[in-house]
Amino acid sequence: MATNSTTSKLSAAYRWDMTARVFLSLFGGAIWASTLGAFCAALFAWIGWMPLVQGVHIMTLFSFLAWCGVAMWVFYEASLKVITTRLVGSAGVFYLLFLLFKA
Amino acid sequence: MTYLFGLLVATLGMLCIAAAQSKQAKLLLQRSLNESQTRTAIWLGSALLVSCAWQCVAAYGLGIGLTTFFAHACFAAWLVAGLITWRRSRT
Amino acid sequence: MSDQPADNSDAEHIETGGLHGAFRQSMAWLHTWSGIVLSIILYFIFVTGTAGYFNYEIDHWMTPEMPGALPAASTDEMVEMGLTYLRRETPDATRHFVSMPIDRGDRTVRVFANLKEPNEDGERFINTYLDLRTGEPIEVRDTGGGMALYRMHWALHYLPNSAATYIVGIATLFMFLAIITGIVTHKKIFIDFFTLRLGKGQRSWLDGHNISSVLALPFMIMITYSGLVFYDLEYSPGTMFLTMGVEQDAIDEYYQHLRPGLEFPEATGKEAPIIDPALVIAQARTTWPEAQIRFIDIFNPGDEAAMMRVGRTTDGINRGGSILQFSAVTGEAFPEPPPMPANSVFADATLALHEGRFANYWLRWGYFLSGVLGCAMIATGMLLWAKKRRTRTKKNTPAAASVVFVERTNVAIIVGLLLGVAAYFWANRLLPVDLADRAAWEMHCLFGVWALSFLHAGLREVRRAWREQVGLLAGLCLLLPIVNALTTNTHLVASIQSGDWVRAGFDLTMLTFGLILIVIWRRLLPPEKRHVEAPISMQASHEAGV
Repeated sequence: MATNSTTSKLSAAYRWDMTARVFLSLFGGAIWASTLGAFCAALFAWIGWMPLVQGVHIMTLFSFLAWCGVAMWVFYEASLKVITTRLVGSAGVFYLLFLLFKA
Repeated sequence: MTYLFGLLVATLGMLCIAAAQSKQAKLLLQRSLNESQTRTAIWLGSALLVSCAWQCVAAYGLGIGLTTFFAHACFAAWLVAGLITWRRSRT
Repeated sequence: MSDQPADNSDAEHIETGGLHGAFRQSMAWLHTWSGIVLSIILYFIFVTGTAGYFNYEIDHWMTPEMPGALPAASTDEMVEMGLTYLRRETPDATRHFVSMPIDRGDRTVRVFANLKEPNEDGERFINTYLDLRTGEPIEVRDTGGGMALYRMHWALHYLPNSAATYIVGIATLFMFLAIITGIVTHKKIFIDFFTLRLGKGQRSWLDGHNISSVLALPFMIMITYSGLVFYDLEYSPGTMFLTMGVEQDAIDEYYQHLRPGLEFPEATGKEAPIIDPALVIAQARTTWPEAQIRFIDIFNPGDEAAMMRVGRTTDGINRGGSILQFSAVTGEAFPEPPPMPANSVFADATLALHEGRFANYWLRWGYFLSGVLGCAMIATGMLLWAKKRRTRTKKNTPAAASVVFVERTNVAIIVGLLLGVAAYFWANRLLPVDLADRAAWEMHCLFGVWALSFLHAGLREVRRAWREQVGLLAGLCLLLPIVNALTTNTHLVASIQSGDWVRAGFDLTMLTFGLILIVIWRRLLPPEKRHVEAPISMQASHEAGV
């Protein structure tokens, strides 16, 4: 592990960075998984593969895996800026696509 | 009886797979296996585990059978790990 | 993945490839922290959940008034007995349920009714067991039984249900993350598959952690993921919220999709007598000639729209088993509900795998031992965390306060909780039978003893605290069958003589645990105090503080 284990030696910037990552992984992951789920469920219904409610259930079951994937990436990616931009950007795109297919 | 037989087959399978690893083979058999013996041990171990799975599915149906197989495999792996640990403590 | 350095002043700690170094190092870091942060809750969930695989058996032991052996009675007789009691005691109930003693769940006929108004105890239901000889309730002591232990693994205790659900959900999510990152981190997963090197200090704890998780990995993944599926909408409501909304209609549609054709009928208010249930059971038997009838469930008894459900024993990995529905007035069979969609079958099977209700005793022990491995995985992870940090402390310098704190709390979490559970069983036998709120006091004993174990671990030297708590736990387990013999008529010999292997099994299991704990306790003794000289490797491990 590259970080120093003694908490007293950690700088304020590092603490802020970790806090931000915890929040981004918890809430960012949840929002990302939700928008992805909504987009996929709407897409499946639009294509005619399955009713919306079925897609919602499948994507809800899948969302836990998606959340884990996001959490892993958030704690791997070095730049907080990259994480925020990509998470917010992709969630926004998913949401817009969801609105498009739902309409 | 079916259950114990399945566990026996899974344990034999896990023993073969353990014997295919040179580190474990030295503890179990006091020597490592050569290349062809290692290959045979892997095939035999896999075949025994597959036959255990097949036997469980035949006896209990797909769902409960596979669950039973995983229980056998887990417990068998523990038995083999216990045996290896015991052998290590004796050497 | 980007290779840019982090935007913080600790960049000197950050190697190329990620916040904590390469991918594997980042995942190792995440594995450690996602596992350790809520480890006390995870350990609590695993201990109580593992005990829950034998919840009915524990129930049986904790209610010594319940008969061990049953007189023979046919299904028709038992249904008639149950319904007679329910009609007499709860004529206005909205639901009558009679469960047969054919599986490990019930040892005699269980009757249940939903009431329109709360009864004198303030409850809107009755739930009791009938004596097959008399048809009257069996008076049993007020106890939480195994069900209270089982329930705590998702509802915790002393907390509102919703708070507990979310705490458990977050802990489960962290555990799921810890398992996945653990797989990614463990690069020698096959090479170390059978490896447990004892007496090698930190290495031994790592081996113990690896072997307890890897050898039961399918179970760990299944139990954690399915734990999340139980409350899928509560834990991950986003998709539903965005697509369908969160109004009651949308939620109803969601659940209707998961379980099509299982609506509860509305009462019409017009009275009508119900048909003889034996006729309905006879119809069910033509559909299931081989199966045993598990229950009869009547909705709106005495109403024109009354419906009778007949359930059979579980026939695979599903939660509901098969159900047939009839009009309780005419006996006419309702059309079978449409099959569940594949996603619902998957979720149902996942939940059934978690609960393991389909498991026979062999498989149930497999579940139990896998649960024990889960407890061991969490415990060794906690010990490893403290051990690693203790090893980093330089000689002749005091360890960081956080390390000392964790070392002490580890004792109280790992052994103290088990002491609490043992105290719960002792309280069942020692508290006065007529004590008010007896079941609640049993639970207070559990948590009181657990709290004392924290106090003890805080006051004593760590190694001594381990020895004393393990020794006490061994004593509590070994003496429990004796306390049972002194306080009830259902002692081990009597149980074996009457063929009540469930009660006997509980006593024998406690004796086995006690003997295993004695072996552990002896190994925790300093070498000079052991009667038999331990192998050199064990002495070395003791010196290393393992």
